[in-house]
Amino acid sequence: MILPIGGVSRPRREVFYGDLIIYEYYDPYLEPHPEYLVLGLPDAGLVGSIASRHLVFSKKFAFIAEIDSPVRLPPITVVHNSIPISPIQLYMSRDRRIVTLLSETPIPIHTIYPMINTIINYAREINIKYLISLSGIAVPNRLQIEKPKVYWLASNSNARELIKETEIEELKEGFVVGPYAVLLKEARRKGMSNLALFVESFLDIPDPESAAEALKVLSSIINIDIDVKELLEEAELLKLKTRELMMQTKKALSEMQKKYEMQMPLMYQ
Amino acid sequence: MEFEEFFERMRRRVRELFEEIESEFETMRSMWGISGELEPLSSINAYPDHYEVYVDLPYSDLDSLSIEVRGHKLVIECRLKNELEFNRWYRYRGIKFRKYYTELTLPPDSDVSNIKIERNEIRKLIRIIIPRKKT
Repeated sequence: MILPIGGVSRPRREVFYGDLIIYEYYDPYLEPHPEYLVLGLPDAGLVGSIASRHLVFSKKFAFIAEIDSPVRLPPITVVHNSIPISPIQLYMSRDRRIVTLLSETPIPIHTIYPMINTIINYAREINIKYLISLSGIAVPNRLQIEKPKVYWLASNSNARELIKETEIEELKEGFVVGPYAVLLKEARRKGMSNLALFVESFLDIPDPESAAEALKVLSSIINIDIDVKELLEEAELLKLKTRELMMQTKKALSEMQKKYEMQMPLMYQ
Repeated sequence: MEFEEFFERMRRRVRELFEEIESEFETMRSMWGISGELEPLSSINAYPDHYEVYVDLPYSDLDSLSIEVRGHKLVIECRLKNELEFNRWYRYRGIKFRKYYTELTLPPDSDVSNIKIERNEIRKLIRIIIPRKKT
Protein backbone atom coordinates (compact mmCIF):
# COMPACT_ATOMS: atom_id res chain seq x y z
CA MET A 1 0.00 0.00 0.00
CA ILE A 2 1.34 3.42 -0.92
CA LEU A 3 0.71 5.80 1.95
CA PRO A 4 0.74 9.60 1.98
CA ILE A 5 4.08 11.38 1.88
CA GLY A 6 5.66 11.26 5.30
CA GLY A 7 3.86 8.04 6.21
CA VAL A 8 1.50 9.04 8.98
CA SER A 9 0.12 12.46 8.20
CA ARG A 10 -2.86 14.60 9.05
CA PRO A 11 -5.54 14.91 6.40
CA ARG A 12 -5.37 17.91 4.06
CA ARG A 13 -9.14 18.30 4.30
CA GLU A 14 -12.16 16.79 6.03
CA VAL A 15 -15.36 16.67 3.98
CA PHE A 16 -18.57 16.16 5.97
CA TYR A 17 -21.65 14.46 4.54
CA GLY A 18 -23.98 14.29 7.54
CA ASP A 19 -22.46 11.78 9.95
CA LEU A 20 -19.97 10.45 7.42
CA ILE A 21 -16.59 12.13 6.98
CA ILE A 22 -14.12 11.80 4.13
CA TYR A 23 -10.53 12.48 5.20
CA GLU A 24 -8.46 13.52 2.18
CA TYR A 25 -4.68 13.10 1.88
CA TYR A 26 -4.45 14.47 -1.66
CA ASP A 27 -5.55 17.45 -3.68
CA PRO A 28 -8.74 16.40 -5.48
CA TYR A 29 -8.79 19.53 -7.65
CA LEU A 30 -5.45 19.00 -9.35
CA GLU A 31 -5.75 18.21 -13.03
CA PRO A 32 -6.48 15.83 -14.61
CA HIS A 33 -9.62 15.12 -12.61
CA PRO A 34 -10.31 11.43 -12.01
CA GLU A 35 -12.87 10.02 -14.45
CA TYR A 36 -13.81 6.72 -12.85
CA LEU A 37 -14.65 5.67 -9.31
CA VAL A 38 -14.47 1.87 -9.05
CA LEU A 39 -16.32 0.43 -6.07
CA GLY A 40 -15.30 -2.73 -4.27
CA LEU A 41 -17.66 -3.19 -1.36
CA PRO A 42 -18.10 -6.62 0.27
CA ASP A 43 -20.96 -8.47 -1.42
CA ALA A 44 -21.68 -11.92 -2.91
CA GLY A 45 -18.46 -13.94 -3.27
CA LEU A 46 -16.46 -10.82 -2.28
CA VAL A 47 -16.13 -10.25 -6.03
CA GLY A 48 -15.85 -6.45 -5.81
CA SER A 49 -13.53 -6.55 -2.80
CA ILE A 50 -11.13 -9.06 -4.37
CA ALA A 51 -11.17 -7.26 -7.73
CA SER A 52 -10.51 -3.84 -6.15
CA ARG A 53 -7.74 -5.22 -3.93
CA HIS A 54 -6.03 -6.65 -7.01
CA LEU A 55 -6.46 -3.39 -8.91
CA VAL A 56 -4.89 -1.40 -6.07
CA PHE A 57 -1.94 -3.75 -5.55
CA SER A 58 -1.19 -4.66 -9.16
CA LYS A 59 -1.38 -1.11 -10.49
CA LYS A 60 0.25 0.39 -7.39
CA PHE A 61 -2.54 2.83 -6.63
CA ALA A 62 -1.83 5.40 -3.92
CA PHE A 63 -3.87 5.73 -0.74
CA ILE A 64 -5.66 9.09 -0.99
CA ALA A 65 -8.55 9.16 1.46
CA GLU A 66 -10.57 7.28 4.06
CA ILE A 67 -14.21 7.35 5.13
CA ASP A 68 -15.17 7.21 8.79
CA SER A 69 -18.02 8.06 11.12
CA PRO A 70 -18.36 8.40 14.87
CA VAL A 71 -21.96 7.18 14.74
CA ARG A 72 -22.56 5.27 11.52
CA LEU A 73 -19.65 2.83 11.64
CA PRO A 74 -18.29 0.47 14.32
CA PRO A 75 -15.17 1.73 16.15
CA ILE A 76 -12.71 -0.20 13.98
CA THR A 77 -9.19 0.79 12.92
CA VAL A 78 -7.22 -1.36 10.53
CA VAL A 79 -3.43 -1.30 10.77
CA HIS A 80 -1.31 -1.58 7.62
CA ASN A 81 2.46 -1.06 7.74
CA SER A 82 2.01 0.22 11.32
CA ILE A 83 -0.36 2.95 10.18
CA PRO A 84 -3.86 3.05 11.73
CA ILE A 85 -6.56 3.86 9.15
CA SER A 86 -10.27 3.35 8.54
CA PRO A 87 -11.33 0.06 6.92
CA ILE A 88 -13.04 2.13 4.17
CA GLN A 89 -10.30 3.49 1.95
CA LEU A 90 -9.88 5.31 -1.35
CA TYR A 91 -6.95 4.82 -3.71
CA MET A 92 -5.92 6.57 -6.91
CA SER A 93 -4.04 5.48 -10.04
CA ARG A 94 -0.70 7.13 -10.93
CA ASP A 95 -2.24 8.95 -13.89
CA ARG A 96 -5.13 10.20 -11.65
CA ARG A 97 -7.73 8.71 -14.02
CA ILE A 98 -9.11 6.08 -11.64
CA VAL A 99 -10.14 6.15 -7.99
CA THR A 100 -11.00 2.92 -6.19
CA LEU A 101 -13.05 2.67 -3.03
CA LEU A 102 -12.77 -0.52 -1.01
CA SER A 103 -13.92 -1.63 2.38
CA GLU A 104 -12.25 -4.21 4.60
CA THR A 105 -15.47 -4.71 6.58
CA PRO A 106 -19.08 -5.07 5.43
CA ILE A 107 -21.09 -1.85 5.47
CA PRO A 108 -23.69 -2.04 8.27
CA ILE A 109 -27.25 -2.13 6.95
CA HIS A 110 -28.30 1.23 8.44
CA THR A 111 -25.25 2.93 6.96
CA ILE A 112 -25.84 1.83 3.38
CA TYR A 113 -28.10 4.70 2.28
CA PRO A 114 -26.00 7.48 3.88
CA MET A 115 -22.81 5.83 2.60
CA ILE A 116 -24.14 5.58 -0.96
CA ASN A 117 -25.31 9.20 -0.88
CA THR A 118 -21.91 10.23 0.46
CA ILE A 119 -20.19 8.38 -2.39
CA ILE A 120 -22.45 10.00 -4.99
CA ASN A 121 -22.03 13.51 -3.53
CA TYR A 122 -18.28 13.16 -3.15
CA ALA A 123 -17.91 11.74 -6.67
CA ARG A 124 -19.75 14.79 -7.98
CA GLU A 125 -17.57 17.09 -5.85
CA ILE A 126 -14.34 15.73 -7.36
CA ASN A 127 -15.74 15.62 -10.91
CA ILE A 128 -15.94 11.85 -11.31
CA LYS A 129 -17.74 11.00 -14.56
CA TYR A 130 -18.60 7.36 -13.93
CA LEU A 131 -19.17 5.21 -10.87
CA ILE A 132 -18.39 1.60 -11.71
CA SER A 133 -19.58 -1.11 -9.32
CA LEU A 134 -18.01 -4.56 -9.38
CA SER A 135 -20.25 -7.17 -7.84
CA GLY A 136 -21.00 -10.84 -7.66
CA ILE A 137 -24.47 -12.13 -8.40
CA ALA A 138 -25.06 -15.43 -6.68
CA VAL A 139 -26.15 -18.35 -8.84
CA PRO A 140 -27.02 -21.77 -7.40
CA ASN A 141 -25.00 -23.76 -9.97
CA ARG A 142 -21.79 -21.75 -9.69
CA LEU A 143 -19.73 -24.91 -9.03
CA GLN A 144 -20.67 -26.25 -12.46
CA ILE A 145 -19.94 -22.98 -14.29
CA GLU A 146 -16.47 -22.82 -15.82
CA LYS A 147 -16.54 -19.24 -17.08
CA PRO A 148 -18.86 -16.99 -15.07
CA LYS A 149 -21.11 -14.77 -17.15
CA VAL A 150 -21.05 -11.02 -16.68
CA TYR A 151 -24.16 -8.82 -16.80
CA TRP A 152 -24.36 -5.06 -16.70
CA LEU A 153 -26.87 -2.52 -15.53
CA ALA A 154 -26.66 1.24 -15.94
CA SER A 155 -28.26 4.13 -14.10
CA ASN A 156 -28.53 6.28 -17.25
CA SER A 157 -27.77 6.47 -20.96
CA ASN A 158 -24.38 8.01 -20.31
CA ALA A 159 -23.26 4.96 -18.32
CA ARG A 160 -24.81 2.70 -20.95
CA GLU A 161 -22.52 4.26 -23.57
CA LEU A 162 -19.52 2.83 -21.74
CA ILE A 163 -20.48 -0.76 -22.41
CA LYS A 164 -22.84 -0.79 -25.36
CA GLU A 165 -20.10 -1.76 -27.85
CA THR A 166 -19.33 -4.96 -25.95
CA GLU A 167 -21.19 -8.27 -26.22
CA ILE A 168 -21.99 -8.34 -22.53
CA GLU A 169 -25.63 -8.86 -21.71
CA GLU A 170 -27.74 -6.32 -19.87
CA LEU A 171 -29.46 -7.52 -16.73
CA LYS A 172 -33.13 -7.53 -17.63
CA GLU A 173 -35.17 -8.71 -14.64
CA GLY A 174 -34.76 -9.68 -11.01
CA PHE A 175 -34.13 -8.26 -7.58
CA VAL A 176 -30.75 -6.79 -6.64
CA VAL A 177 -30.00 -6.41 -2.95
CA GLY A 178 -27.16 -4.65 -1.14
CA PRO A 179 -25.07 -1.49 -1.45
CA TYR A 180 -24.79 -1.70 -5.25
CA ALA A 181 -28.56 -2.04 -5.53
CA VAL A 182 -29.01 1.23 -3.62
CA LEU A 183 -26.29 2.92 -5.64
CA LEU A 184 -27.99 2.09 -8.96
CA LYS A 185 -31.31 3.46 -7.77
CA GLU A 186 -29.91 6.60 -6.10
CA ALA A 187 -27.54 7.33 -9.00
CA ARG A 188 -30.46 7.16 -11.45
CA ARG A 189 -32.50 9.52 -9.29
CA LYS A 190 -29.63 11.97 -8.94
CA GLY A 191 -28.55 11.83 -12.59
CA MET A 192 -25.17 10.27 -11.82
CA SER A 193 -23.69 7.71 -14.23
CA ASN A 194 -23.32 4.36 -12.56
CA LEU A 195 -22.43 1.19 -14.42
CA ALA A 196 -22.74 -2.01 -12.40
CA LEU A 197 -21.01 -5.20 -13.52
CA PHE A 198 -22.58 -8.30 -12.01
CA VAL A 199 -20.58 -11.50 -12.36
CA GLU A 200 -22.04 -14.92 -11.64
CA SER A 201 -20.52 -16.06 -8.36
CA PHE A 202 -20.89 -18.06 -5.20
CA LEU A 203 -22.91 -16.29 -2.52
CA ASP A 204 -20.90 -17.23 0.56
CA ILE A 205 -17.56 -18.47 -0.78
CA PRO A 206 -14.92 -15.96 -1.92
CA ASP A 207 -14.77 -16.10 -5.71
CA PRO A 208 -11.49 -14.80 -7.18
CA GLU A 209 -12.32 -16.35 -10.59
CA SER A 210 -15.42 -14.17 -10.83
CA ALA A 211 -13.37 -11.19 -9.62
CA ALA A 212 -10.95 -11.85 -12.49
CA GLU A 213 -13.84 -11.83 -14.98
CA ALA A 214 -15.04 -8.50 -13.54
CA LEU A 215 -11.53 -7.07 -13.99
CA LYS A 216 -11.29 -8.29 -17.59
CA VAL A 217 -14.49 -6.40 -18.45
CA LEU A 218 -13.38 -3.36 -16.46
CA SER A 219 -10.05 -3.25 -18.30
CA SER A 220 -11.82 -3.25 -21.66
CA ILE A 221 -14.24 -0.45 -20.79
CA ILE A 222 -11.89 1.95 -19.04
CA ASN A 223 -8.78 1.17 -21.11
CA ILE A 224 -6.49 -0.05 -18.41
CA ASP A 225 -4.32 -3.12 -18.73
CA ILE A 226 -5.03 -5.39 -15.76
CA ASP A 227 -3.16 -8.69 -15.58
CA VAL A 228 -5.32 -11.21 -13.69
CA LYS A 229 -2.76 -14.06 -13.90
CA GLU A 230 -1.33 -13.20 -10.50
CA LEU A 231 -4.81 -12.96 -9.00
CA LEU A 232 -5.67 -16.44 -10.22
CA GLU A 233 -2.33 -17.77 -8.97
CA GLU A 234 -2.93 -16.46 -5.47
CA ALA A 235 -6.65 -17.33 -5.55
CA GLU A 236 -6.43 -20.22 -3.09
CA LEU A 237 -4.50 -18.25 -0.49
CA LEU A 238 -6.76 -15.27 -0.95
CA LYS A 239 -9.81 -17.46 -0.33
CA LEU A 240 -8.20 -18.82 2.81
CA LYS A 241 -7.37 -15.33 4.10
CA THR A 242 -10.80 -13.85 3.39
CA ARG A 243 -12.91 -16.55 5.10
CA GLU A 244 -13.87 -14.31 7.99
CA LEU A 245 -14.72 -11.29 5.83
CA MET A 246 -16.88 -13.64 3.76
CA MET A 247 -18.61 -14.94 6.88
CA GLN A 248 -19.33 -11.40 8.16
CA THR A 249 -20.51 -10.34 4.72
CA LYS A 250 -22.86 -13.32 4.53
CA LYS A 251 -24.37 -12.25 7.85
CA ALA A 252 -24.72 -8.63 6.66
CA LEU A 253 -26.29 -9.75 3.38
CA SER A 254 -28.77 -11.90 5.22
CA GLU A 255 -29.81 -8.86 7.29
CA MET A 256 -30.26 -6.97 4.01
CA GLN A 257 -32.75 -9.62 2.82
CA LYS A 258 -30.39 -10.93 0.12
CA LYS A 259 -32.84 -13.82 -0.27
CA TYR A 260 -34.96 -11.53 -2.45
CA GLU A 261 -32.45 -12.08 -5.25
CA MET A 262 -33.72 -15.68 -5.46
CA GLN A 263 -37.27 -14.48 -6.01
CA MET A 264 -39.03 -13.70 -9.27
CA PRO A 265 -40.45 -10.16 -9.19
CA LEU A 266 -44.22 -9.83 -9.20
CA MET A 267 -44.22 -7.64 -12.32
CA TYR A 268 -42.12 -10.06 -14.41
CA GLN A 269 -43.81 -10.83 -17.74
CA MET B 1 -56.29 -18.32 28.00
CA GLU B 2 -54.27 -15.57 29.64
CA PHE B 3 -52.02 -18.21 31.13
CA GLU B 4 -51.38 -19.76 27.69
CA GLU B 5 -50.60 -16.37 26.20
CA PHE B 6 -48.22 -15.65 29.04
CA PHE B 7 -46.39 -18.94 28.46
CA GLU B 8 -46.27 -18.33 24.73
CA ARG B 9 -44.72 -14.88 25.36
CA MET B 10 -42.23 -16.46 27.76
CA ARG B 11 -41.29 -19.16 25.23
CA ARG B 12 -40.78 -16.52 22.54
CA ARG B 13 -38.59 -14.39 24.80
CA VAL B 14 -36.45 -17.38 25.87
CA ARG B 15 -36.01 -18.34 22.21
CA GLU B 16 -34.97 -14.76 21.37
CA LEU B 17 -32.49 -14.73 24.24
CA PHE B 18 -30.93 -18.00 23.05
CA GLU B 19 -30.68 -16.60 19.52
CA GLU B 20 -28.98 -13.45 20.84
CA ILE B 21 -26.48 -15.51 22.86
CA GLU B 22 -25.80 -17.78 19.86
CA SER B 23 -25.28 -14.83 17.58
CA GLU B 24 -22.89 -13.23 20.10
CA PHE B 25 -20.80 -16.41 20.22
CA GLU B 26 -20.91 -16.60 16.44
CA THR B 27 -19.54 -13.05 16.23
CA MET B 28 -16.74 -13.65 18.73
CA ARG B 29 -15.69 -17.01 17.34
CA SER B 30 -12.46 -17.07 15.36
CA MET B 31 -11.92 -19.21 12.29
CA TRP B 32 -8.19 -19.37 13.11
CA GLY B 33 -7.28 -21.83 15.88
CA ILE B 34 -4.23 -21.42 18.08
CA SER B 35 -3.39 -25.09 17.59
CA GLY B 36 -2.92 -24.48 13.86
CA GLU B 37 -6.41 -25.45 12.72
CA LEU B 38 -8.46 -23.39 10.31
CA GLU B 39 -12.22 -23.51 10.16
CA PRO B 40 -13.36 -23.79 6.54
CA LEU B 41 -16.32 -21.90 5.10
CA SER B 42 -19.31 -24.14 4.75
CA SER B 43 -22.97 -23.83 3.90
CA ILE B 44 -25.93 -26.14 3.84
CA ASN B 45 -28.80 -25.97 1.37
CA ALA B 46 -32.06 -27.82 1.95
CA TYR B 47 -33.99 -29.47 -0.90
CA PRO B 48 -37.22 -31.48 -0.60
CA ASP B 49 -35.44 -34.84 -0.67
CA HIS B 50 -31.85 -34.05 0.30
CA TYR B 51 -29.39 -31.60 1.82
CA GLU B 52 -26.27 -30.29 0.11
CA VAL B 53 -23.32 -29.25 2.20
CA TYR B 54 -20.56 -27.22 0.56
CA VAL B 55 -17.18 -27.01 2.24
CA ASP B 56 -14.50 -24.73 0.81
CA LEU B 57 -10.95 -25.98 1.40
CA PRO B 58 -8.62 -23.63 -0.49
CA TYR B 59 -4.88 -24.37 -0.35
CA SER B 60 -5.59 -27.89 0.93
CA ASP B 61 -4.30 -31.29 -0.06
CA LEU B 62 -7.57 -33.04 -0.90
CA ASP B 63 -5.84 -36.45 -0.83
CA SER B 64 -5.74 -36.06 2.96
CA LEU B 65 -9.47 -35.29 3.23
CA SER B 66 -11.28 -37.22 5.93
CA ILE B 67 -15.03 -37.04 6.51
CA GLU B 68 -16.43 -38.95 9.45
CA VAL B 69 -20.03 -39.26 10.63
CA ARG B 70 -20.41 -39.03 14.40
CA GLY B 71 -24.04 -39.25 15.35
CA HIS B 72 -25.61 -36.26 13.61
CA LYS B 73 -22.32 -34.53 13.05
CA LEU B 74 -19.96 -34.50 10.11
CA VAL B 75 -16.36 -34.22 11.19
CA ILE B 76 -14.24 -32.88 8.35
CA GLU B 77 -10.47 -32.70 8.38
CA CYS B 78 -8.00 -31.87 5.61
CA ARG B 79 -4.31 -30.93 5.63
CA LEU B 80 -3.01 -27.79 3.95
CA LYS B 81 -0.63 -28.11 0.98
CA ASN B 82 2.05 -26.46 3.10
CA GLU B 83 2.23 -25.00 6.58
CA LEU B 84 1.28 -21.34 6.67
CA GLU B 85 2.44 -18.56 8.99
CA PHE B 86 1.25 -14.96 9.11
CA ASN B 87 3.84 -13.40 11.37
CA ARG B 88 3.14 -9.77 10.44
CA TRP B 89 -0.34 -10.27 11.90
CA TYR B 90 0.08 -9.79 15.66
CA ARG B 91 -2.84 -12.02 16.61
CA TYR B 92 -1.45 -15.37 15.45
CA ARG B 93 2.28 -14.62 15.43
CA GLY B 94 4.34 -17.79 15.67
CA ILE B 95 1.46 -20.13 14.88
CA LYS B 96 1.84 -22.57 12.01
CA PHE B 97 -1.46 -23.39 10.32
CA ARG B 98 -1.51 -26.99 9.16
CA LYS B 99 -5.05 -28.19 8.52
CA TYR B 100 -8.74 -27.49 8.21
CA TYR B 101 -11.04 -28.91 10.85
CA THR B 102 -14.75 -28.50 11.36
CA GLU B 103 -17.71 -30.27 12.93
CA LEU B 104 -21.01 -29.65 11.19
CA THR B 105 -24.28 -30.49 12.89
CA LEU B 106 -26.75 -31.99 10.45
CA PRO B 107 -30.52 -31.54 10.53
CA PRO B 108 -32.33 -34.32 12.45
CA ASP B 109 -33.93 -35.87 9.33
CA SER B 110 -30.55 -36.44 7.59
CA ASP B 111 -29.99 -40.01 6.43
CA VAL B 112 -26.32 -40.24 7.37
CA SER B 113 -26.04 -43.82 6.11
CA ASN B 114 -26.32 -42.72 2.47
CA ILE B 115 -23.97 -39.79 2.18
CA LYS B 116 -22.39 -39.04 -1.20
CA ILE B 117 -19.25 -36.92 -1.48
CA GLU B 118 -18.13 -35.06 -4.60
CA ARG B 119 -14.78 -33.29 -4.80
CA ASN B 120 -13.85 -30.46 -7.10
CA GLU B 121 -10.07 -30.80 -7.22
CA ILE B 122 -9.49 -27.55 -9.09
CA ARG B 123 -11.65 -25.33 -6.89
CA LYS B 124 -10.84 -27.30 -3.72
CA LEU B 125 -14.53 -27.47 -2.90
CA ILE B 126 -16.42 -30.48 -1.69
CA ARG B 127 -20.11 -31.14 -2.03
CA ILE B 128 -21.73 -33.58 0.36
CA ILE B 129 -25.17 -34.85 -0.59
CA ILE B 130 -27.24 -36.19 2.29
CA PRO B 131 -30.67 -37.73 1.64
CA ARG B 132 -33.54 -36.74 3.92
CA LYS B 133 -35.38 -39.48 5.77
CA LYS B 134 -38.95 -39.98 4.60
CA THR B 135 -41.41 -39.40 7.41
